[in-house]
Amino acid sequence: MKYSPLLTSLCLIILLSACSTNPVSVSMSTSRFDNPEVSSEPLSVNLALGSGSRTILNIETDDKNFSGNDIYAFARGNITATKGLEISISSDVDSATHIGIKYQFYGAHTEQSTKGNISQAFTLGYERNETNEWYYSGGDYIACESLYCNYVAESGYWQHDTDVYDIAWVVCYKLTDRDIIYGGPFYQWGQLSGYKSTANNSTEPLESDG
Amino acid sequence: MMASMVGGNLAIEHRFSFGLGLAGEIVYGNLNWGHYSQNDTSFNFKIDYQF
Repeated sequence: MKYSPLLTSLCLIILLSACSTNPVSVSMSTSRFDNPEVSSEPLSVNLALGSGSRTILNIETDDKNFSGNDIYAFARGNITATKGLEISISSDVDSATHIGIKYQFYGAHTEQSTKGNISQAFTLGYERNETNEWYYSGGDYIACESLYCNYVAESGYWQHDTDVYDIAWVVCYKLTDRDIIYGGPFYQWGQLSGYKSTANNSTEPLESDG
Repeated sequence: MMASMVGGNLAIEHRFSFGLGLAGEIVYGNLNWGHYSQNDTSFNFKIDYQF
């Protein structure tokens, strides 16, 4: 089995590549797509696929850290419960699940709206997301002033759970019978909690100060 | 620990006569978590079908 060391090394390289530098981070969804025009008929169904974004906030200082947005595919289903009231559920590949309700309180509903219509609605939502990841902080040689260098590397595991509530006000204007523009302000708030375990078996809660 | 994000979005949507819809969206948000804060702009895309 002279190839055993080679195979072992290869496996380690693949494993470490898969667990490349993955800083501890938290994220919140920035996909909205809440058209304030809601159907006036109950049990009206809409199914959607798309690419959505999540704002990622790294909570460890590292020059290699990525900050900003990451894009995830999502699937979403909407159904009207009664005139102007819609329930939605969506999920993305980051494991986030979002449940929301939307109520149109102003303007013509989808079936009656024509060019020039202005509608308004508010939305309430709840998002649950659990993210966990093995990480490898990379290795580095320190104290290399002599022939002897200390190789330092760290690996471990982190997990955080996100429970976020969401409220928004949306306004639309119907440009033509088939084109609509809409948007508005939103506010999300909730709890982000988790822990981080390192190779030396220490486990610490994730705090906002890293 | 408490986190929050405030922002706004603007989307445009076209719906064909056979029920298919296409939409694009721009979202701006500010995410806060403890001592950390970040502003971001994102672009999203959606295709849907209205039954």
